[in-house]
Amino acid sequence: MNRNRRSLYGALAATLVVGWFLGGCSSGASVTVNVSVPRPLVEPIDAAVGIYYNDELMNYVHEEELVEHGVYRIDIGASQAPVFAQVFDAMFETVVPVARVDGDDPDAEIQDSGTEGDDTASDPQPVRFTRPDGTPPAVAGIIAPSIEEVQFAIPKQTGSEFYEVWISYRLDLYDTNGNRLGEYPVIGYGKANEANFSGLGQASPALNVATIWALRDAAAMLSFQFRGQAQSQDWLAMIGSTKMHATTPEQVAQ
Amino acid sequence: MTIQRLPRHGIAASLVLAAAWLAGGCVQTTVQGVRQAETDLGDSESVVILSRKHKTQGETEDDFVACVSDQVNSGKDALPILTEREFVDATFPWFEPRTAPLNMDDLTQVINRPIISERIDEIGVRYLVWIEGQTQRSDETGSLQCTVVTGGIPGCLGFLSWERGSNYEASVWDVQRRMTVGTLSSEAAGTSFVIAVVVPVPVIARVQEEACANLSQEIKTFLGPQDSTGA
Repeated sequence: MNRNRRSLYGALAATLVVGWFLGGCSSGASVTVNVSVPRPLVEPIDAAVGIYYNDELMNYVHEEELVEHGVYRIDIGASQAPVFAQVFDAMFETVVPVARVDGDDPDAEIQDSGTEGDDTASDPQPVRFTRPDGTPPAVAGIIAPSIEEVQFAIPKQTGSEFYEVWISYRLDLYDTNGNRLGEYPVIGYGKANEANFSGLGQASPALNVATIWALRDAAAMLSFQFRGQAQSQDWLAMIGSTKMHATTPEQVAQ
Repeated sequence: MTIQRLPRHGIAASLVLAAAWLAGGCVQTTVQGVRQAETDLGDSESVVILSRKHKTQGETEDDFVACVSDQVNSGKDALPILTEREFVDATFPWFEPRTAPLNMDDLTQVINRPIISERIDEIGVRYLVWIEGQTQRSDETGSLQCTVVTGGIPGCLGFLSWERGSNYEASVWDVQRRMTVGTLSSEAAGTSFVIAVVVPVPVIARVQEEACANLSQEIKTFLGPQDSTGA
């Protein structure tokens, strides 16, 4: 009996020691972020636009191995359509989802699934967009968001107290005939203070919070700045938006 | 009835633990407040406790803001509180880390927009309390060693102490009158330690909790019904 008890204590102690050592090492993290954002409080632009979400955006996963810190996986695909839908619904009078019809290869835009974006940026030919039922969309222009790059940093790399996430978006701006007229960049930044997460296993929840803040920041900056920037103003002028300056936002503190 | 005498080293250990407990419970606190204008919280109005999130270091802990928010909203003289999350969601994207107004001029510009002022009226927020500061650990001394002795039993020996200091400041903005009505501060410092003779016994100075309790009481007094002597 006494021997059994000692064995039990020994096992417990060994577990604690092993746990202690493991706790000192970071073994990466995996987060799946599926959130939306509040509806932005902005004056809508008087225009009807179509929004095209490509498959790469909708299934976006960033995976990276940090030397000595493990493998980190950030899955943000499921959040893209809800976040952009919420933002564009507030930014424009009318928003309709559209599909893209490509010639021989309807999946051409998702062939390159890296972080360099889809092929729309270099596509010299007009792109045909339709409503999901195949009919032409009654819109003045079309916006196609894509993710160009995701980066993150952990406190052990930077020496700071934050887990940080950057999401770099590109919005391709088309006219109703599918001619690409320009693009608009959006960068979302989020951080989570490690002090808000206790000890062991803090990487996943902290990275999750930082990613949510990055998505939220991208939504905020897009809704806040879009109508005041030259690229979007040019596009709005070309597609014939009438009340593009309902209000003029101030310079945003960076 | 049998009374057993404690061995000498047992008495010594007990005395050390008792002294440690008493000393550990001691936290020095300082509170200060500057009133710049009278306050008058209406029946249907509420207060929001917010933290600054734009800094690259020294960000206020989420649990401190939650603690102040909860304590201001409870107990004697409780004030109606709208949580930070409810407020920033209701005013999205105007109070996000990169877009929130940093001073009264910025706030005035934001609130002067009809779409924002209507929403602020709708949710009934009268005062914004911006909290800055944090609790930091410093001056660690001593050492503590733990090992697994014969038979697989873990044991620790040593003494470790450290100091923690909290330093928080709150600016109170009157949304209706577009002005800063006061600044409150709460500081606390205390020493925590761990004594280990086989079993480690931590004695933690509840520094942040004291700072939270003091700042919450300050906010309640500051924004609560004013007596004739003022704050």
